[in-house]
Amino acid sequence: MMRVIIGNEILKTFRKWRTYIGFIAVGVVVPLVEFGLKAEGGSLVRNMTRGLGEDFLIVGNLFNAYFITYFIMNSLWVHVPFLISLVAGDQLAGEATGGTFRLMLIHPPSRSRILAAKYATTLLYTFSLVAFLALLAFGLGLALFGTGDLIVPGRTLTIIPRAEVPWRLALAFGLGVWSMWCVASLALLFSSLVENAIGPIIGTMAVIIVFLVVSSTPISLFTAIRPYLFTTYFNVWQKVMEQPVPWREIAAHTAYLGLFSIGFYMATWYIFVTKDVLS
Amino acid sequence: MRPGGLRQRVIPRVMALSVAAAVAVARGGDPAGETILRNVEARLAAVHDYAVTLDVVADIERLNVPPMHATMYFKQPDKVHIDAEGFAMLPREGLQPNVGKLLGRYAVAGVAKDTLDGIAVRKVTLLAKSDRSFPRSLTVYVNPQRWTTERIVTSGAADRLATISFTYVQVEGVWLPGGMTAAFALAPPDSSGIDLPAGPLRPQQKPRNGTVTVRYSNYRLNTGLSDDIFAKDAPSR
Repeated sequence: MMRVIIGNEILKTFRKWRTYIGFIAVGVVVPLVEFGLKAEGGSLVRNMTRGLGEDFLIVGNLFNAYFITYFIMNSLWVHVPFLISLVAGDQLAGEATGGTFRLMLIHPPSRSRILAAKYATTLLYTFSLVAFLALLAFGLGLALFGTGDLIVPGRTLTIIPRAEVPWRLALAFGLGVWSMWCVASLALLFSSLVENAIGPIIGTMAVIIVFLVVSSTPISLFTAIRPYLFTTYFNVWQKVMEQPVPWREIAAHTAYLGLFSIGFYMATWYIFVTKDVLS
Repeated sequence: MRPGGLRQRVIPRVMALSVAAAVAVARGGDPAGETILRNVEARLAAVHDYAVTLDVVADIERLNVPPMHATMYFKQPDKVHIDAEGFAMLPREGLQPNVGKLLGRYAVAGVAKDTLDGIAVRKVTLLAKSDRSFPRSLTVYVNPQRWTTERIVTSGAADRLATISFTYVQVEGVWLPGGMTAAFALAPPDSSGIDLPAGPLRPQQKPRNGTVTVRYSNYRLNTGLSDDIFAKDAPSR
């Protein structure tokens, strides 16, 4: 029964053209960025190692598919959340806009089951979008730039040996999906509150941008608030690129993001099952 | 090895340099800075080219690099090429063993006697002839017993100081570097105490103090390296 409901929701979601906006955007932006970087010829990496170049001879291809993929993964901060909220924000609000809520809810499946199916569909869409981003970024990067060691910019400039990069990137993408599921859960929550999908999209993005600013600004007042913001844990995928890998921190961040997602889902469930669809 | 041509070029050069050094010492003074550096150059005259395996360990502030492995190719007079499967970073100064070639870009500013770890050495101070040459000054410590460069101290812009120390091994009768330790003392570390959180706003900072240790092994001397190996390399500094 549940499988049928999920199947229907997947069908409904993937029949809407708005579902493909994200894929089209990724399909256009990633090649654009990669061809642009190729034309530029590696000045991005040269700038990173400029400080070293005065004292050292640098050998090896650091401008490679791994770096390009890591560079594109930074779209997980703002761009990908926007594309996810386009679909997740429409899951419940879209039914309200289309006037299909009553029709859907008079059928035997409980509201909890319907919501669970919509949530599963949202998570599937999120996974597909991030996986598409990963495969396109890496596949095209491999064809254009080849492989090599990975340079990770930051407070400490880290070089990860080529042999370690594939599993780290795969794990980083897995954790990227995990953090994007939190965004999807938030968008679904906002979607349960309104009858127009625009509100959840704008609401989700506004929350992410404000929270990211608070999470990233070194002000003592913000420091106290920071642990309570889900965006603070968004960098979990970047942690995989640290040397040595801070496994405890990754586990903690992953757990917090999971708790936020569950919290958002529970709130959505409460709003959805108590929603008055008759008036 | 190409015995005929090499011997014809090397023997007169070694003899001339030895005579010059002997004359300088006989006069009661130290050999001139130029002569000291030429003597170091003469020590390598029997080596037409070599390839050597390098194992590099970098311990530099705010730089996290795994141990690196590379192959260095050297060909007289001053061609150097580095090959590495992955990433490798090597100190710019000190790789090119032929310090006599420095005289093209640097002028001798002074020669003095000194000791390094209890060994008497000659300290040659060099200043860049052109404003565009970096580092601006070099101090080369030469062991007059075997004419090996024991240490090079370079100073560049913004109080940047690099001290490159060498150890030597004898390969086919020639003293060649067995190890190199480059210590970099740059601007003082950041003491602002602000630990910026991770995220898109985090700035990148320049690595500062630290050391790079290079171990040389598996020398292959006079194998007749082709010039093609060095074709794409910029001229050594």
